Amino acid sequence: MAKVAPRVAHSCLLLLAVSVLSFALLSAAPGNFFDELRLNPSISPETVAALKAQYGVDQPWPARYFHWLSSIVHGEFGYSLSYHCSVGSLLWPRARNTLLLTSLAMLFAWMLAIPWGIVEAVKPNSWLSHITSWLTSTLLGIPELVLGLLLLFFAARTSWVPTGGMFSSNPSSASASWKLADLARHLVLPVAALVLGSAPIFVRYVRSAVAEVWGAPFIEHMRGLGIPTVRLLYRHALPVAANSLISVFGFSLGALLSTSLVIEIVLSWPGLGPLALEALLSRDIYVVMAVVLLSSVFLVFGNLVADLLLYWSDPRIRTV
Amino acid sequence: MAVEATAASTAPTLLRVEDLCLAYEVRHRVSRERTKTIALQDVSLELCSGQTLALVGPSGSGKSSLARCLVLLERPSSGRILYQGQDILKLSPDAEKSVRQELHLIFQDSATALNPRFTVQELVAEPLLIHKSIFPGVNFNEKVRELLDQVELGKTWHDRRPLELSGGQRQRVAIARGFALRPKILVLDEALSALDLSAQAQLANLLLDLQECHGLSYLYVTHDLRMARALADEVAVLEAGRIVQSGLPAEVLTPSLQPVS
Amino acid sequence: MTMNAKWRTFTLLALLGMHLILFFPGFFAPYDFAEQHRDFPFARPTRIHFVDATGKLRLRPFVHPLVPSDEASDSYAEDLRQTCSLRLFVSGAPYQVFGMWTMKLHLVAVDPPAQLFLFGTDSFGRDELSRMLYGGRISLIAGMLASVAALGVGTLLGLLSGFYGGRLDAGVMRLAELFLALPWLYLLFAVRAILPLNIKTTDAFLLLVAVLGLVGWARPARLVRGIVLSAKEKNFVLAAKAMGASDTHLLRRHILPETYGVLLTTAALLVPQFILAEVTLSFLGLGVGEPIPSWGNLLAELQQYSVLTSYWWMYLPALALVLLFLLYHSASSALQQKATGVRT
Repeated sequence: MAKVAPRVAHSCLLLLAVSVLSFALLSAAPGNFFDELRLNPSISPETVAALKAQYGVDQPWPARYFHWLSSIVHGEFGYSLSYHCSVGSLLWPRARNTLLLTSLAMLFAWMLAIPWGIVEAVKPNSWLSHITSWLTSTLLGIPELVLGLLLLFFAARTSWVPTGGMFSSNPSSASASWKLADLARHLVLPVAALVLGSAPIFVRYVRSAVAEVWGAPFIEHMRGLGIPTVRLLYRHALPVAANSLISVFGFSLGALLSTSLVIEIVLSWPGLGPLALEALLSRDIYVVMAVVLLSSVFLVFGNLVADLLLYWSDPRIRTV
Repeated sequence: MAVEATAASTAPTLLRVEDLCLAYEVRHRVSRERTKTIALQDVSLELCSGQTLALVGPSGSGKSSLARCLVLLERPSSGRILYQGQDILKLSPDAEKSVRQELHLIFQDSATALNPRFTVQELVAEPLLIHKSIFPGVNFNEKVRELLDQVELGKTWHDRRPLELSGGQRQRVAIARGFALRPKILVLDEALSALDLSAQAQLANLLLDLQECHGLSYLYVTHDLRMARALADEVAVLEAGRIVQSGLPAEVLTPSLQPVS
Repeated sequence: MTMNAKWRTFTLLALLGMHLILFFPGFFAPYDFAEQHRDFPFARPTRIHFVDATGKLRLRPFVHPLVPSDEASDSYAEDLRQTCSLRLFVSGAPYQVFGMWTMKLHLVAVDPPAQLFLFGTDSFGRDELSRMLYGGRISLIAGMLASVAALGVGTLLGLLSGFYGGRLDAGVMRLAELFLALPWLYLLFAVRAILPLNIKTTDAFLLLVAVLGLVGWARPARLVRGIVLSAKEKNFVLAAKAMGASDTHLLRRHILPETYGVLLTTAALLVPQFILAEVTLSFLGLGVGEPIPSWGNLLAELQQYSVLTSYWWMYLPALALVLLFLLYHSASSALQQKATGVRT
């Protein structure tokens, strides 16, 4: 337990540093949108003044940073100037959608990658392994942007799956199961795009991790003893390979988050991606800050979970 | 216990080590515990001009650590190293740089001590380049050729890389490099141990010739007692970081002394 | 995938060839990237004929000029009465090479009044092939410059951090960790948000490169630092140190060469990533803007439903991107294989 606390504290410090970085970056943005707000005739000057006071715009930057931090603690994350509400209220539904998409994609991608990777490592010359390696090499060459567009084309032409969005407009009397099915249909495209983009990379990692263990002398020894391959795999080889894979897991989450940004925009999935783009184009800086911070929270949290898993699963680290 | 200048040598003392202590602290990667290892404890010795002092002892006795301290690759925790009366541990950077010309270390494994990407020519020229301010207008290629002639390494080898040479040839390159700045002391850290017997003999003779020609002093660190007996004027025995015995080879390296690893 | 020497050479040559073509778009492109043919928006790729309407086989391949249509129709009819030959190495509209020389030689052109739209046209009637070639150059150069920037900054920091250790090392590594704690595209957004939205396109391009480089230094820095940490303990470095070598001498002559292998393999991985980053940004409207083409803004047209479903030739920039990616991946596998002798 003593090992866990410093690691968690480290993550918290890291997030704090990220928040400072985001704030610093965005404070450097030229053009004060409070000035732009003032140009907007529909907003009264009193509102503008009140907002300015609330966010301490005229105060030195440490004060502004603390104002912003306290607004985060209250769940507001600042004020969105395009939507005229607290950023937090915009953020949570979008974050939930992104989380839904990314976790499903991670799940399916790893579920696909692990068996394929194992097969490639254990039976490197079978026809299955050749097909897998050819497939992964090709898929690796196709960037997510293109994958998204191709899938969109496929959906548009065949109408098997909807071409975007999260829900179809539905009569309010639609049943819960209908809504669930509708959601699932809308998830197919973005999840497929993310999985097709990430699974090949995971397959490569799995293959190299398992291949490294599979060639080890202790495995050979046990094979010589006549232990069947499947048992050997599950009880002996995979736990060792899992070590390096868990570290990859954390790192893959970051890559997936970046990929999901593009896919969400292309396939109109209402997640953090389209929100960030819109905010950027309309100079709604607090929203951009909040999205960047949130995405970083997901990433750091994912790495933390991976490290904790590693600590829990690897006896070597625990017993020192 | 100190090695004292014996009656036989009337040469002036060139290098004197006084009560040198060296300790390492290792911090465990995960548990953050610190363990202190003592490499050298109160080591004192003396090297006279033109003489060879052999430092023998089992592996782990601290011989290499001492060798590295002498060429300032390691900083001892306490003690003094006096070269021509000056404590080389307390010099200004410029003075330190000029003292480094006088003391040179030859490593045991020439394959790792010579940058595999350099040619023989570049390797031997390197010390000249580093100290080029003291050689204004000198043609380095000439000097390199002279040096390689002295170690009997022919022209065909000058453009080769270290891994194309044999072990013996590589050590010749190391010696040529070591000799480039006309040092007064060569510290040989097991310099012959990695070679086969005939190469050892050839290089030992080369070293003796160079010593006679140029009045070099050698500090020869080794575990090979035969070589020590053959080359040394004086011997010191190092065990667990301390000098336990010293004197003439005949006295110290008696048959009753067990061969050490 | 394992590759034998022949395949390896082939992919490297193909990569080189593609770069060559993209660096000289003026020669290979039939038209300038901004030249509009207002009568022919979304024209299909031009058909090249060898047999004319009377059934005669011609020596030179030829093309029929298109007939502008006034109703909104899917395609344009060919004027079968006229045949215009296809010619190679034709003198045409002048273009600049590297901004210094003016040349007039084009690889391929067609006699007037026909049009040569080998890859079709876009909504303004601009030749897609020409736009792809010019756009490819932009995307490629952006990717390469950004890689150089990221590798440069990363190498410098990695060298200093690994060599000097102590507080500098701790500081740089913490900073790297910070940069790596943000998903790179979000970080890119954040940095892009600082810059004004509407900037001159040349400035935009340079700023884009700088931004990408700024975002990407952390991983190379870590790699280089690892190499430096192991290199500085090597005996030949210690020997030089004992001889009195200055830090600069050690870094420049002994330690830096040890990093070259890693730098090369990292470059082969970074360049496609940065090309993709530029394409993504331009696709979203945050990078290179009209009228300068980039594969990103060429693909942006696909966001309109009609273009997505009806005009297949607008997908061709995606094909080019995929081809470039595949070649870079093969090249990087080949490099890794050469370095380690191991199948990746």
